[in-house]
Amino acid sequence: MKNLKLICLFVHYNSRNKIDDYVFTYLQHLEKAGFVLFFISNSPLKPEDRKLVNEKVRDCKIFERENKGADFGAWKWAIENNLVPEDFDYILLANDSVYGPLFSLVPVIESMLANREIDFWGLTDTYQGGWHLQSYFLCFSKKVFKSKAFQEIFQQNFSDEHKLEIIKKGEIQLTKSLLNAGFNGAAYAPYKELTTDTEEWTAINPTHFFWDTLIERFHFPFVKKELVLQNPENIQSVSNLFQLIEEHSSYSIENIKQSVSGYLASFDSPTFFSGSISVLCHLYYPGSIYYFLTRLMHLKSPQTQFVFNLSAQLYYNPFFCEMLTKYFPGAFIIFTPNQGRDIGGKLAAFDVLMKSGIKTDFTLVIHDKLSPHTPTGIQWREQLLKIISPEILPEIFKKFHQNEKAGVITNEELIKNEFDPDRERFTCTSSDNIFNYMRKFELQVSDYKFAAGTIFWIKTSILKNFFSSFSAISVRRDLEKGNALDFDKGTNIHAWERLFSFVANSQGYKTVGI
Amino acid sequence: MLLSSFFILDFEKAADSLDISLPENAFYCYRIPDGSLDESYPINKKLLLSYKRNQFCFLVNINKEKADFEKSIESLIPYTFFYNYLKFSYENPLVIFETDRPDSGRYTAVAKEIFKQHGYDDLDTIILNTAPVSGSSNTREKITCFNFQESDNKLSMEYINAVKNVRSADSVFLFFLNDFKELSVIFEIANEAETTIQKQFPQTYHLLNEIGLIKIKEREMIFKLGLQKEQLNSITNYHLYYNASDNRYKRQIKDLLGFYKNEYEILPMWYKRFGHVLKVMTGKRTFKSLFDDNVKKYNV
Repeated sequence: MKNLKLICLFVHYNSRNKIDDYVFTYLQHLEKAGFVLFFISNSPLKPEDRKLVNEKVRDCKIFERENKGADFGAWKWAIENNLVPEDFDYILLANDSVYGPLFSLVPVIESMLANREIDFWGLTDTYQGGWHLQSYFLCFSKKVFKSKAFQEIFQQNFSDEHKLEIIKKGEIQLTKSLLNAGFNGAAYAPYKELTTDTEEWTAINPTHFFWDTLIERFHFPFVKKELVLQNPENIQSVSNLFQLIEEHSSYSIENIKQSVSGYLASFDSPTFFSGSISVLCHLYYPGSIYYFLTRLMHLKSPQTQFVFNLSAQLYYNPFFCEMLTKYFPGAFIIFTPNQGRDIGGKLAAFDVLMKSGIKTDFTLVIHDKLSPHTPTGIQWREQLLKIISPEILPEIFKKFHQNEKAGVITNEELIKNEFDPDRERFTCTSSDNIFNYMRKFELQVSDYKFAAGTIFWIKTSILKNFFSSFSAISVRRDLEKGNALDFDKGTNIHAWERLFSFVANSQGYKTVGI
Repeated sequence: MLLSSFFILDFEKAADSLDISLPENAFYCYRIPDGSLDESYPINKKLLLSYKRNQFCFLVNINKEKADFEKSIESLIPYTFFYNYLKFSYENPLVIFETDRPDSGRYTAVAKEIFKQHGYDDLDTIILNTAPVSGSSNTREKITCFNFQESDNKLSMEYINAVKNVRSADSVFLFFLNDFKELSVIFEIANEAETTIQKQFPQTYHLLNEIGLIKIKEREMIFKLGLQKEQLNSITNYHLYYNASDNRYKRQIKDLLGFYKNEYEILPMWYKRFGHVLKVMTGKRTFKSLFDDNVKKYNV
């Protein structure tokens, strides 16, 4: 490897126009592995960051360009502008979408380059959309780089394409095109050694689903940034990330922490609402928590009082607590045993709000919905979270102001009515529980519509009126412990999912859709 | 502090006390008044926003009627949800009970039951018997009480003697205060006393420090164990969900397939073909797909 000339086109992007520490670490490792670096930033660079790159990485050439076409756009730009010198043996296309390396890159690169039958290689492969190498780390021999098959891929236009289209036209097509041209490609950690499911439509992203196996079994050097920050597949084992890294590697997790903090900061732009609001938020799942916090950040305003109820897994996560108090200063944070699932947490949160003496006009009742037991959980969550999207929020407040009778507002697709007038029962399993509560609280309900999923806006006065008579804590006491389900048998928890809307209706209000 | 130390103040004086940061291994303990805590609005906000600084717990006097005692305990529950409420054993909150009743065990059992109703697995307790009581409920020998009405010198002496006489790793110190302002004086005295102990009784000092570190590690292990149990429960639940969901969705899929068959599949072929052409005409399907299964089928 010592006699080989290696170059790397490294693509960087940061929405805050900053180079995070983890990027510097990565660049230094690439340099140590023998690469001459071409640092192409798709976002503007500050002079101090340019200086730092020059200080930390020897002979690194720095370029800035407009953020068009993501990483493939940047590589195409570099090729078109003849940045790649003639005298090289291997070229690496890499980007900043990963944290690491957790382990030295040298043995990985040496083992892959030692195999003379391989013309191009990556760290991982997948069968999603057909077999291909994943493009965050791709290495090509000069022969491949100069080939028509390679050049043709980069003659395409990536500028106006969305991420998925770039993956299709770039990442997937690149492997296919090179294979068709007769080149041999391979992955350092082959997909087939992780799972047997190679069906195009059911194949999965190994860097997400097997992130921990990759580290433990393959000494895999990277963790996908997207997995930590957004976790689109809701892989809950990600909550063990820091622990696993510390067990297996000397990589500084401070790099990841700084990146997470920076990610949250990029969403931190408090707004102004016409009324005062309280947010009763139950947080349970540790795996996708940072993504969820970014969604809540749209609600930050001088008139917002957050009350967070944490699960034990989050309460005992010092970094998460640090982020929560940093980005939601002034929020009330409580930690309750898992009684009543999200409903129990929200009731405890409302009790705290009442005891604090803070008065608000509207309350958002919300939790980090995942529903891991349903295949449509993620889709359902997106529907529910529609009511906190910045473009919908003004409509919600307008509706509250214009319609005096609007007591509860949620996504209209999620307003349900399960009352069967013929049988005088609710069609859900919790019918008896609902009737028991209605009798106990003497609710006079004329409209049985309710906000399914228990994520909704409600006039705070409705909750205050009700829970002044029946304390939220005593209501919580009667809820089932643990993650109770209502598939076969009704529960008080699921009765309460309906009851919030019924309480509003009993006070003369309606559940209204948006 | 060398040993877990609780600084006992009346609850209504708690708000001001929070401005003073406690040293490591020291905790606030607020003595709750006889009535309910529900109306103490202004203080809650400050307690709530203390996050993990200045952890606190409650001291409850159980020399009262059972019904009043139950009411008192119920009123504590929301406060134990606060972020900085003291929990040594995973989720279980700590409450110190002060009593001279011989049947105090009955009362603490009631308290534990109430906490269980609110989702806790258990309640951690320290029983401070103000009268000598025989039996296991007497934890007095592990508790040393300091009353700060004495002179400074006396407290220093008492503190040194108490440390010298520690017989159990579970020993705790309770400092009864009249005012939060006394805290800084006590910290100073305790600090000086500990320096004296370090010089005069280095072995005791070293051992107590070691015990302190072991205690911290023990708590960490308890937290980890608790989290592992929680995760195990989640996994078990997930499998239960999965199995339950599997059956549920199998039923739904069966219903859906039945619906599809009855609504669409039973239609004659010529009618379906007409539908395909109609789709092409309305732009919803590609023309080529009528003749070739390998081309793009839908326009959306």
